[in-house]
Amino acid sequence: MAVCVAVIGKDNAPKYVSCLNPNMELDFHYKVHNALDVVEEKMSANGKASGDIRELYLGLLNSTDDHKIFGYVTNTKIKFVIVTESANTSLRDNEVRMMFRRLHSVYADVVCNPFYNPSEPISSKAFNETVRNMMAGNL
Amino acid sequence: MWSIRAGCKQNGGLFGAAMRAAVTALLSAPELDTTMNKPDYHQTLDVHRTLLVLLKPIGKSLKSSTFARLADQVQKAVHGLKLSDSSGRERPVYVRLVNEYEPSQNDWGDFQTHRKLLGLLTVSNVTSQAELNEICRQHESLKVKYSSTLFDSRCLVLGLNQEGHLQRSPSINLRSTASSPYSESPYLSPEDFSHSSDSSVPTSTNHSSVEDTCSDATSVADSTLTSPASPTPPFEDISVAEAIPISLSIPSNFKARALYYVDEDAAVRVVSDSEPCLLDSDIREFVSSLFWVLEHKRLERSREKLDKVTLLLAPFEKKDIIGLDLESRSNKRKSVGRGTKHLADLTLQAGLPTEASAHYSAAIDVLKGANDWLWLGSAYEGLCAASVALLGPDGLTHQKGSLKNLSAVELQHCLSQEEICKRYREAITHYSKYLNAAVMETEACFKAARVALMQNKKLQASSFLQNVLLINLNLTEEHKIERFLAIAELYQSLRFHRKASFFKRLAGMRHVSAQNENPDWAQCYQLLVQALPGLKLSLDPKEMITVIHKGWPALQIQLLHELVAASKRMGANQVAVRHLTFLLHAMWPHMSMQERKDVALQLQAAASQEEGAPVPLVLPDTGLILPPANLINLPLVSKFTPSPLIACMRPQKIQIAKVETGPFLFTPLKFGSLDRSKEANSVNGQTKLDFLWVEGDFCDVQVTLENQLPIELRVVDAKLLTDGTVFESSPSTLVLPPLPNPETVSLASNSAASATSSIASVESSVLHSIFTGVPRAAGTLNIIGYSTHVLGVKSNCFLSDLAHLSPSSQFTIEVVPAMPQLQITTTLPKMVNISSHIQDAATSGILSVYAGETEEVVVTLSNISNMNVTMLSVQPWTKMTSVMEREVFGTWENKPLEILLPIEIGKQVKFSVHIYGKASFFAAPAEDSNSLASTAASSSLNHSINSSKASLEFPAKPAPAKPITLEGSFRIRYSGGPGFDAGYCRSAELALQIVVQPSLQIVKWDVLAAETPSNFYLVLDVLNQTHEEAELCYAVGKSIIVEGDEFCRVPVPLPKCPLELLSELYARDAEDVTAAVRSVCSKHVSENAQLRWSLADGRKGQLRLQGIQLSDSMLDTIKASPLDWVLSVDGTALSCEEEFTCTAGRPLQVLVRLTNQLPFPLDNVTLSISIYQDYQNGTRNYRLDTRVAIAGASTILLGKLSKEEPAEHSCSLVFFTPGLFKVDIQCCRLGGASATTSMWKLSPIPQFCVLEGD
Repeated sequence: MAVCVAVIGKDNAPKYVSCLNPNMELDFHYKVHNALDVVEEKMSANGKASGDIRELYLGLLNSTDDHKIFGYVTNTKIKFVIVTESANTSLRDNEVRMMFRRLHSVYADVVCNPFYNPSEPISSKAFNETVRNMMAGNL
Repeated sequence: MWSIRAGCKQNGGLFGAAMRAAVTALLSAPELDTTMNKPDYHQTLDVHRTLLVLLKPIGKSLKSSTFARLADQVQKAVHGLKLSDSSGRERPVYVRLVNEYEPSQNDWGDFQTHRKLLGLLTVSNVTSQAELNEICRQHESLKVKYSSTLFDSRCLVLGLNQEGHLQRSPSINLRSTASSPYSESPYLSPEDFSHSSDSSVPTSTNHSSVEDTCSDATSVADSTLTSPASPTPPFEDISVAEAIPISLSIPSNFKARALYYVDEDAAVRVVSDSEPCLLDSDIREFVSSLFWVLEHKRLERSREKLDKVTLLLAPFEKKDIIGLDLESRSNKRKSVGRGTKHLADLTLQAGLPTEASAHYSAAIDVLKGANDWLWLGSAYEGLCAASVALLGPDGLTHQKGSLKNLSAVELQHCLSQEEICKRYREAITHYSKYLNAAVMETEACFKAARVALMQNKKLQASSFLQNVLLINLNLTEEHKIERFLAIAELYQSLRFHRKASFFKRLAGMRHVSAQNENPDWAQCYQLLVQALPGLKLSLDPKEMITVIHKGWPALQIQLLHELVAASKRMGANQVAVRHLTFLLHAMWPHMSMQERKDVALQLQAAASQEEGAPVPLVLPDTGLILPPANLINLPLVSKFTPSPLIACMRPQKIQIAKVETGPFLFTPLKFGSLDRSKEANSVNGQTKLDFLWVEGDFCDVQVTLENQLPIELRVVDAKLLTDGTVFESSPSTLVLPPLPNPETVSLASNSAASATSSIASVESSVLHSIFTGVPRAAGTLNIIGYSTHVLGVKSNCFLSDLAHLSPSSQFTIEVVPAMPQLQITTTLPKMVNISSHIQDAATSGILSVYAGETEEVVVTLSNISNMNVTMLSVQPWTKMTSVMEREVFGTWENKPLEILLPIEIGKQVKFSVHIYGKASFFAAPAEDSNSLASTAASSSLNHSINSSKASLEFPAKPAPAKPITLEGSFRIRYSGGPGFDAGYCRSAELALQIVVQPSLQIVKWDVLAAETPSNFYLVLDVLNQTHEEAELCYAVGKSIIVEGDEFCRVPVPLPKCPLELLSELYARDAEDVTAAVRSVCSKHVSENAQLRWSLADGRKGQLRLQGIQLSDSMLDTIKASPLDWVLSVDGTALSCEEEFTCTAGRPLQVLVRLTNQLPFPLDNVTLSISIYQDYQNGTRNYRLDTRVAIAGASTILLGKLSKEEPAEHSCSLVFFTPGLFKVDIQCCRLGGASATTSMWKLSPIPQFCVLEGD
């Protein structure tokens, strides 16, 4: 399923990055970081387009030989990015959406924690657990 | 180096990679096209409309600046050029000037005609014939090189005048306009041109200036090279025939047209507004010549029958064609399609986009049917180019509504905005099927991206750019770098800063990659620096603190590491040190403990070669300024507090401000202006400290340093940074122990969150230290920070940057002028454990005295400063009551000290202090024995002094007395020098601890009447509490030796308490008379008893009886009687000391005369006489009726008794039996209201010794 999951704050600084293969960590940092350009572009395009309820799912941001990068933006401009392997062709768009929705709800749980400072990186165990599951494909 | 692969392949998405590979393998040979492997990354779609011209400097004497100027001018001349065609239509002509062009690139000219090199312009400078010859040769050889495609050429020659004469003076001889046939009209007329261009055979025309090269005329090239045909047709402006002696001859094989200019100024000088400069007109003429050849070829092509057209081929297709049936239907279709496409290319170049788009559309239709993907792609690209040309830059950005100036016919084949991108995408897809068309594809991607950018379709543009990286191109490293830079630039204009930065970095790393044979670290460094903003990194530490620069720490750290490595390899160690410092400073919170340690060690190694200093660094190549970075985390200062001077050095105002004496009132409102200014200070981020520092004194700031590294940290040269008055900071060197248990800091590398939390859990190794310094002038001193030298880097850390410390950015301290300093020493040993309240004392002394002893302490004041002490005052300062204080220290006078002043530099003065060992001399009562005093107090009034005789035994020994410790101090205030003038002084405290050892103590006491009525004896039981023999002198000439720990009983003769002291009390009628009397008597006793003791070792002291408790019976003895008694028996006065002897049975006439000694009369005085027998065993017998009889009143009320009127009473006594009788005569005064009475007795009691009668 996912090989990397990232949560990026509204100031575009990372709040949480986790990936399946720790050796590839820096790679994924670059990938997700670069994908932010597209996220911003899509957000500004969306913002201009219409005033109706915004679609939070941004769709495919980028795809390479190895990976596909999907994006999702909450209404508070928190960005979720999920990287999947390009080889995994069985993954449907709907499944990616599901992952994002799940991620969003777990994130909401994290933010509801009164001891969590929203400007800090996420260090919640429950959140970590969900992300791990997501990456292991146990959704 | 670090991984450069990161994200390298991140792109694509446009075309399935797997599909691409399959198709490429299928459609083209795996062999790579080596002939044309350098794409031009800077093309736009407009390139399809341009005529390609090579502009090249030749010859050695041409300055590059001159060439640049001329090239600039040429560029201007060809810009926006419009020519009228034969039908009078205006045609825009675009010229693309290049400096280099590989002939192999011409090979693709059939595929896309704008790739053909059509014109050649050379620029040269001539100073000699030989040079001219060389230039001509080079020009000719260039012509040959591009002969397959060249239409025309010009050779611009500087240094010759119009006639081809060598020109050295620039002031003369511009080319005369008359001499040139073209100067009258810079453009060729169409007629002219058709005349010249009709001839496909070279050199036959009289227009030798129009170089007659056709695309397929390779033979021409040969002929120009080989045949030395005679030049200079009749109106050739180069006139060799007219050569004057300095004229140079044109080599015979030079067939190009040369344009002579005296110098560059002459070439670009504008003669008048209406006329362009020489160069301009020449260039325009040249361009028009190119145009007309092109137009000719276009017309030629358009007239050809489509069926007859030979198959045009891309270079790599040539070898595939062998064995193919050229006459097959599909091939026919191909050749028609390709021919149409070629025509469309020419049409577009000739400035007819509308026609071109129609041709392209037609070509697309044909090529689609022929499955000729490569050419179809090219046709799509051409159509896009034509559409873009039609729409113009405005049309791309605006909606269709703005295109009103174009008719529907013109737009018939034109693509809409959306279609342009779509078609281009198709074109690229088609290209991608051919491995050999990789260059085409790459260029197409860049062009498409630029178009998309113009249309503001950023995502489209981005996807085009991503595709570039998927194209398999066999490029040299240099070209790869160029490609990355071009991509970065485009991303930059797309405002995709992150990607731009990523590619900048990639390009930079390519400069030094393993494959690169000549690595260029400087270039790498430059590009890495350019990548900084995209990662939200600024090299200014101040900016990094702000929220704006909040990026991705992991990436930032890597980039900084790369910068460090690049600068090291560049040889700029200083820069590397700066970057490492910055890395440690800015990325500290994001680094793991191990990373911190590594970076710190790296920094230490780098800085060992060259020290880092906190000054901005200017990079030599770019002028980029690296602001200083300071290591505020190494060590981390967690506490920074300036401390006041030690107590004995602290300055004070000599004039102490008025102390509020009124009742204590509290108000929450602050009225004082002082308070307000204090608050204002703290608002400004400054803290005004409420203590003073003294010029010339060592002052310090207490700091707590934390080492957060698992290595030992050596802080060298730690100093304070100040401004305001002069401050001399003294450097200190500190060594901080390493952080314990570094392995507990396991940093989960994927989350910054766990990093911070785990670091917080580690206990830091903390060092408390001080930074010291000496203020060198009085005034206001601001402490703004500190500087350290850690790991070889000097850092200036300002308090304003240390957000964790306190809100105040600086401390402000008032420094008062210099003052002298005294060292205080005493003859006493110093205190060992100093109690808290005298901790601040300058010096201390411990003194052991016996109770009652007076010890002299000599205090020495040494002036150890460099100025005189001109003011000195000493004052005892204790917690004792003032009475006690006076007793211990005596009454203190400052006057005698003044003679000691001034204390000069280096001198010392002495004064002495007398200390009295004050203690109670009365032993605490032992538990098992009644104190004499207490029994006396409880005994009844008429129980007389004899009670003391009741026990002759000494009382049981009381518990040994313990030493008493008294504490006190002397406050020594002194001043001098400028500090004194400013009204300040120092106050040093001399703390004293006085241990009072017990000496002699009084265990019991009593009084005995003396032989005379004016005296009495104070009988004391004295216990020697020392272990030595003591001699007690208790009266004049009377002394006794008391062994250690032994008792002795001494009678101290004392006068009675005189009436004067008591008389007043008698007058009072109050109840407390007795108590008052008691205290008066006690005082009388203690003042008069002069008891002195001396020990065997010569120590001596007093035994004072202050506070002696006296019982009522004792008081009776002590008090002097206010009445004067005269007792006479049988007419003779009786002295009471002796017995009166008489015989039994004989009456005795007793007369008592009383005189009041008091100044006031006494009322209600009763006189009574009673006789008793004392059995000497404590019982007195008053019942003597059988033994004695009194004739007359034994009790009589005397009434008023005044001084003037003595009272008399007489009676007769008859003793019946012999014996010893005592007569108790007493006088009572009944109190007025109360029942209290005053009573006086005749003392000593008269005794009658009655003998047996005769």
